[in-house]
Amino acid sequence: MVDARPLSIPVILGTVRQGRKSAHVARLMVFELSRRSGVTTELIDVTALPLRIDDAGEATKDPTFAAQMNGADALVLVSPEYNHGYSGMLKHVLDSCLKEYIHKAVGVVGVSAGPFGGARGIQDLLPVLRELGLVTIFWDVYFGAVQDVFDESGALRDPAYLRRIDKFLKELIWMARTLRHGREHIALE
Amino acid sequence: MATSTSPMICAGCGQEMNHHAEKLIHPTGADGGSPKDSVFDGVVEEVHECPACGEVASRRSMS
Repeated sequence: MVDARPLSIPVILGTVRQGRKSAHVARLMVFELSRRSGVTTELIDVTALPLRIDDAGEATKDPTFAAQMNGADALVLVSPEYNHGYSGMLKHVLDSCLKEYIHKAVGVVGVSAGPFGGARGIQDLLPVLRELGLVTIFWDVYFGAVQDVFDESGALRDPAYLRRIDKFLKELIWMARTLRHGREHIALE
Repeated sequence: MATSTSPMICAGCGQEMNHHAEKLIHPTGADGGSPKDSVFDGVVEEVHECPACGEVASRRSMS
């Protein structure tokens, strides 16, 4: 099936930490998405968003980010694990919108310096995503020991990740396409 | 059953939008004090999407 409009699947880099290795992961996800026909993508770096930190929730909504979420069919979240949880800044950014997410697909890519690839942070993030109205997929990608996965230039050292990303993106795109059809053509009854 | 009777019209292209979701939210003081639905103890927000251009819109449910 060919969609009249390409699917929009931005990648959100969910950390502001200096020297973050998650940036390599996010750029890899953007590259892999951009190779797929019928998909547009962009990198949304939470560091670059002008969100207030003296308030929370939709009161902090940034018009540009809200428009990106409004136009998105799915999201890829690159979520590093901090102290066995997800990034607080990622949560702050996600909380700034609501209706923009509803019935849209989301996949989570975990990142950690340790061996578990952000799995604990992902598990904690899933109920948050559900409450935001997003629909999670059952594939994740786990970048454990991320400092060893990329070289200094950000090039991927281990090609096994490409097969894992392929499975993840196939599922995400299927879900994005299916949910777009539902949002646009199947009425709530 | 969808709860509002009149369809939303897309502000971007004028097409009739599809009402595909209703979301329970719990307003804070900052949102203008919308009346709560006593059954759900919150406010039910309808979510609509345009089949032509993909625009998303929402409004408070009428019932």
